[in-house]
Amino acid sequence: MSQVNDYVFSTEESSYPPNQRSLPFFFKNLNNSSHSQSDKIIGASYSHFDRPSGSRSRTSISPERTSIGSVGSLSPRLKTSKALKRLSVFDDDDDWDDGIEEEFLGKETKSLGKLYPDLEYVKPEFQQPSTAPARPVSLIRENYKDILEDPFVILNGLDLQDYKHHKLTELLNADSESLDLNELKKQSWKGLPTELRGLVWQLLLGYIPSNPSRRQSVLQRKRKEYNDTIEQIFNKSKDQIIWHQIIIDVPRTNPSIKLYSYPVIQRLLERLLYVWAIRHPASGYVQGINDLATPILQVFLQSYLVAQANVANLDPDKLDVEILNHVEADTFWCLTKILDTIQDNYIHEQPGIMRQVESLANLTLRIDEKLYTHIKEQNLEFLQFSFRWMNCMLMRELKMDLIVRMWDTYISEFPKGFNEFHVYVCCAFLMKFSEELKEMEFQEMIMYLQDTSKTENWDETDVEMLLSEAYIWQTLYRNATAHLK
Amino acid sequence: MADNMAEDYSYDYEYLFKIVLIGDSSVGKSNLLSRFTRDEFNLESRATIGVEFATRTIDIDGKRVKAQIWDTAGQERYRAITAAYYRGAVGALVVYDISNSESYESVSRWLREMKDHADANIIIELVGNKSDLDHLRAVPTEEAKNFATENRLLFTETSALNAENVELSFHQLLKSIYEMVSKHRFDMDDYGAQKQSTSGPTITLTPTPKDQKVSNGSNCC
Repeated sequence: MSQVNDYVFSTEESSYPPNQRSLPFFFKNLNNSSHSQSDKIIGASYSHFDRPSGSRSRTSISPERTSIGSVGSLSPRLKTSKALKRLSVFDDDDDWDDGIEEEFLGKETKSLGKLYPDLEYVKPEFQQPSTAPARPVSLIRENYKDILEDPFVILNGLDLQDYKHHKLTELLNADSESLDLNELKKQSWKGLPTELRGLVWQLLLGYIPSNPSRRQSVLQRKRKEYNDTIEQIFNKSKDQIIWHQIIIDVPRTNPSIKLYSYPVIQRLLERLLYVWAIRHPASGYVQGINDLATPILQVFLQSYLVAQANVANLDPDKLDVEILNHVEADTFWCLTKILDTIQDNYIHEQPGIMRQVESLANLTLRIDEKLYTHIKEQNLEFLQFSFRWMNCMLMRELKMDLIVRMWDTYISEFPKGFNEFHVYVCCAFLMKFSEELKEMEFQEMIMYLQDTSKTENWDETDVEMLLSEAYIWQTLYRNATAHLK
Repeated sequence: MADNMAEDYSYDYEYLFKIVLIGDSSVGKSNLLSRFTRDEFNLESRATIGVEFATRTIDIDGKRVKAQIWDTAGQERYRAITAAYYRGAVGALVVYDISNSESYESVSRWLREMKDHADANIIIELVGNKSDLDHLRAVPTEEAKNFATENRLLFTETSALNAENVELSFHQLLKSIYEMVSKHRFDMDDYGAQKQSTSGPTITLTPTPKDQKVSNGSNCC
């Protein structure tokens, strides 16, 4: 496994001006004898790649990097208090973009998570003096290696006695040939606990089989397949149009969430989006797909962190690279599963979205005729405000944690959650603002609808209300399309 | 100048001009718009999906002119959606990034788009944005200026980041539209803009992509 994951990245980003920054390239060192291959730049025609290999400062990110760890490269930096701060996995300072040459916390790290009620900030008094070799604080699960192999291992670390999702854990722990997926769907509909979300999403998306005997081999195979695909695709010359669009969009993905500002996460997203695009030529990469990859990525990363840790503030450079590699593959496959259900949202002329927008208009007419009439009278087109709702699954409208909660339900409704059910959710969303909208004219309406600050104070309860209303309307109107139209 | 920057819902205008902002992805269209309408610049802006909208009313020759501006997504895939918004537009800002020659090379493609989908008399301004990145300049000012002259386009270089020439570029465009419209005040249907002879608000175009179909109050015929 480690061989397959022996990725090599460029780490030179910061030394280039933004418009000609070093384009990340990707290839695999199959073994040492293929070294000549690693000096060749594959698939990129950018001039700075043509320099002799000696001038390149590459860092090999591989499981072996653990050994670079806390000795050599670190010691000069650790003398400063700033460096000490870095010892926490979740630093709250602004100099988080120093690249991947930091030490990172590996398997030897002890989890101290339970000691800290507020894990977003590790208090300085817990840090070691700079003279002593620092014992980094880890928010990574102690048994992460085992979870990598078998995601069900996560159940072992849970306190099942007073766990409020008792039924869910019971279900997952059931010692049977295969899981009761229907019951699992019901549980997921109501919202999942942070720790188990990744596992349940993977089960409900059909990424890991419910039959325990096949789980590990399927996971291994899928991850290997992804890595092989990466190698194949990045060995060919790049589709520059797709690649260009991806590398300008990735740095603009979830800019308010710190996790996405780290180069290692940006490179990861670039790779998986590019592979998806190449494998789906009918759509290719379309803006917004970058957004859709991120709830999955976050949730899967979270599986390796202690429950209280907030993945949004994670410094991914401190993770074992094996976690990142596996999470990348898992994210790719699960994103693929989801996009398969909405692929016509992204093909030429985006017919899936057009259909959904039309359904939204029809639903609005039935549920709130006054609003519908008002919208029409003001010459506001549903497309003008709801295109983005469909294209980005409301991800521009709602905060990430609310989207993640919403996806518990969408995934439990899989494969219809992201298309059919989403339209009902959008309708419920529109109705939330019905009273205000009816008082407004065209211009106010469109500005109000595109303004994302109106949901700033929303919490899970609001989203759950939305989902419940959507469910009711779906029940009422699902089969009524034809004769009510 | 600082007319109704924040909330521009006022009816207090005599002309309403629909403008579209087009150009490659990531050239700074959305920030040009937010600089002009709200005097804001967002370093962390996300890619525009579909189309976004903003307005601002300014004075031109003592007349209140309201610009209704549609900011479009740059990616090719959205062209089918965004092209619908060209209809009825009387002005367009075709934006490129002065530090990115590809975005400049795309300009002729954008002009063709306009030719195919927009009104024949639309007034177009070529805008080289990110002039603050002069040290990374890839498109010489003279070259773009000559291209603009040859193609009868207005031209400015702007920086949405430091606000340089942003006012100027929009004013220049709106003024040209205004002049064209007032010259043709008796035959203005072709321009999608019209001066009302009576007092009161003048709505000169509909905001919808399918505006030729609609027939209610906000459409003036």
